[in-house]
Parts: sequence; C-alpha cells; structure tokens
Amino acid sequence: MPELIVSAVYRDLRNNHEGALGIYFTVGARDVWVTHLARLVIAGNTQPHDVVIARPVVRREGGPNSPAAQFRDSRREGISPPIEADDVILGRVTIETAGISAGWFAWAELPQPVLLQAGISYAIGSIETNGGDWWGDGTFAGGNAGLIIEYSTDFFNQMCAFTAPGDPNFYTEPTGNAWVPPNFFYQFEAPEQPPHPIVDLDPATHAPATAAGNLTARVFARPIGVALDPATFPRVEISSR
Amino acid sequence: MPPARRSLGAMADAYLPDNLPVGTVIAAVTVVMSDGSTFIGALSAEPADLVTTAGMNLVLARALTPADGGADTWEVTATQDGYSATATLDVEIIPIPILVEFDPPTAELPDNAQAGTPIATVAVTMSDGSPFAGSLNASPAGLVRMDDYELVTARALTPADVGNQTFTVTTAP
Repeated sequence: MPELIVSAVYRDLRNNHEGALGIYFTVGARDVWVTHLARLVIAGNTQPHDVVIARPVVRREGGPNSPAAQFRDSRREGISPPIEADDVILGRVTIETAGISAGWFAWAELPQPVLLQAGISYAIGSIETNGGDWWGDGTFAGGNAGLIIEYSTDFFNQMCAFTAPGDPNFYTEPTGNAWVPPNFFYQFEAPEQPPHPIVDLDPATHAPATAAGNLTARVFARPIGVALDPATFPRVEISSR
Repeated sequence: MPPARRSLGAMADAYLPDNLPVGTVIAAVTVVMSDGSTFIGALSAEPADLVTTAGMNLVLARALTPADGGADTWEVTATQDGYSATATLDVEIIPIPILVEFDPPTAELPDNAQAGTPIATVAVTMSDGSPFAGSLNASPAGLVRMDDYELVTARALTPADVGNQTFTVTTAP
C-alpha cells in the first residue's frame, strides 16, 4: 500500500512545540482513501501521539495583510483550490512510539477510512508536547508524485487550530520540508468496510399550543317607553248661597 | 402552518412548544445497517441535558421551559462495532400563548347594542414575553367576533339576549 512519505532527511531534531505539527498537501487528480496514519519514530521517543488528518481553513501567520501572508497566499494561489471554512477533523488515531525502532514509522489504523477528494487541500498533523518526544525538522520525499501536487509543511499552533476558524497560526515552509513528519497509507479504490449503521430521524408532530379566555357580559334590558296614566279625582263642586 | 418566529435562514425540522414535558417523543429513530443486518448497537443523543433516547425514540430528558427558546440542532448517534453514524434534527423551541385577558374584565351591554359594538380589548401573554403574533377567534360566533384585538358584537342585540353571556376568545394555532 503506498505511503505519503517514503524518505526523510533532517536538519535538526526539536521538541520545542506544544500542538500539532505536520504537512499541508493537495490531492492530485484522483480521489484517494486513507486507511492508516503514522508518525516517524525518533531515537528516544516513548510517548503516545495523536495523529489527525483534517481539512483545515486557511490561516495566516501575522494577520491577513502581513508580508509573510501575502507571500504565502501568492505562492499558494493557483496551486490549492479555495478551502471552505469548514475546518473538520476527518480521522484521528493514537500512535504508540514506545518499542518502535528509530527511523521507522509507527502506524495505527483509522476507525474508518477517510476519503480525500481530488484537488482539495488537507493537513495531517502529529500532536506534540513542548519538552516531550523529539521530532524531526527536515525534508522528505513523497511516494507518488502524481498523487500529491504540492508538498509543504504546516504549523498548527494548538489543536484548537483545527477547530477554530480564523486562527492565525498557520504557515507553510518551502515545498518538500516537513516537521515530525506524520504519514499515511492510501489507496485509490474505496476500501471494503464492515457493516456500519445508517441513522435517520423522523420528527414527531406536536399540536400547537393555544390559550383561551372567557369574558362575562351582562346584557341588560333598558326602558323603552314611559306612559302616564293620569289619576282621577272626585269632582268637587262649590256653590255659594 | 409553522409559527412566524424561526431560526435565521432555515426551516426547522420540528417546532416544539416550550412547555413540552419530560419524556415527550421528539423523533422516531431508524437505524439500518449497511449490509442489511439488524442494528444491535447503542444510541446516544446530544445535547445530553435536553434529550436522550428511549427505545428507538429521541425523547426529552427534561421538560422544556421558555429559557430553552430558540433554534438548536440535536443529534442522535448510532454506534456498532466501532462504527457510528449520526443524524441531526434542526429544532426550534417556540413560545406559547399562556394567558388571554380582557379590558375591561367584565362588560355590560344594552339589549339594543348595534352590530360592531366594542365589548373589550383582548391581550395575549406569551410564555417568553414576546408579542403575540397569531390570530384570535371569538365565540359564540354568531354573537361576537374579533376586530383585530377588539371583541365586538357580531350582530345587533335584542331583548332576547338579556341576561349573562359568556364570550370566549381563543388563540388560533
């Protein structure tokens, strides 16, 4: 099964970063499926490291208008398609480095294969601890030049950089450089998956709530006529003598 | 008809009165396996403080209150053998009318009142204090009607109407 990285040469070894370090890359003309993630083991490594593969939002070091950002944007323009602001982690594994010989990649299978779409940019990063395991700062070579059309490295300041759109801590180094590096197995054919659930929700309907009030009104009769019945009085005759 | 108040730019899958009691079924959950086998895994629901699953239903974990009002997205995740799938439900928790009041609270009408004579002004209180935006119906229909928020006589009164009358105003769904 082909790997993203087949060789690496390091200028230096470092352990001075807290967060994810890795590679930013763009998939070539064909979709690929990633089945395993890895991290290169450096002599003395003993810690477990989470390795994540994500579709990141574009982040710019030093703000969107800094010279560095403009340079990096111009370099990226025409190479990578626009990346939507839907920064999501597509897969995550925990890599155990203890007991693995230095210079070899330590691998872990993804819970589910991850589909990387043609022409889309992704990032793979290994979570490192400041003062923890050593990791490499160097160059690497890819296993399939037709698959990946751009190699570069990325710096994810913290894990939140994967999930907080607008995080400024993102930049690239010249093509072919890498930190750590992480790695992955890929294949062009969709892997067979064991049975998995597909879930659907059918919402219940709820009767709209109503309120009512009562008013008591008295309809009263009114006088509609007045009749006078004059009284009669005995006639009194007065005579004089 | 859905209520006038809804989330920005999108219709909700379900509109829920903000007085629904605990245990109310919000949605039926259907899980199918990719190979047609029977689902024997577990269901979970989010947000856990509001919803849970009971059997193959998404139900309220507690009663809704006006403080819950607004748009939200609830999730049900089915997990089996390490594989999971999630379905989402866009809900909007809506205020309900809770009180219909009259001004004046009682009325007196002469038995020769003409059709359209004002009887009382009607006010509706919503559970969250928002303005009432629905419509009102008055009964007995032949005797009274609504004119906007005014309860008025629907016909001229006659001596045959003399006595105590009860008029009812109901908020329309």
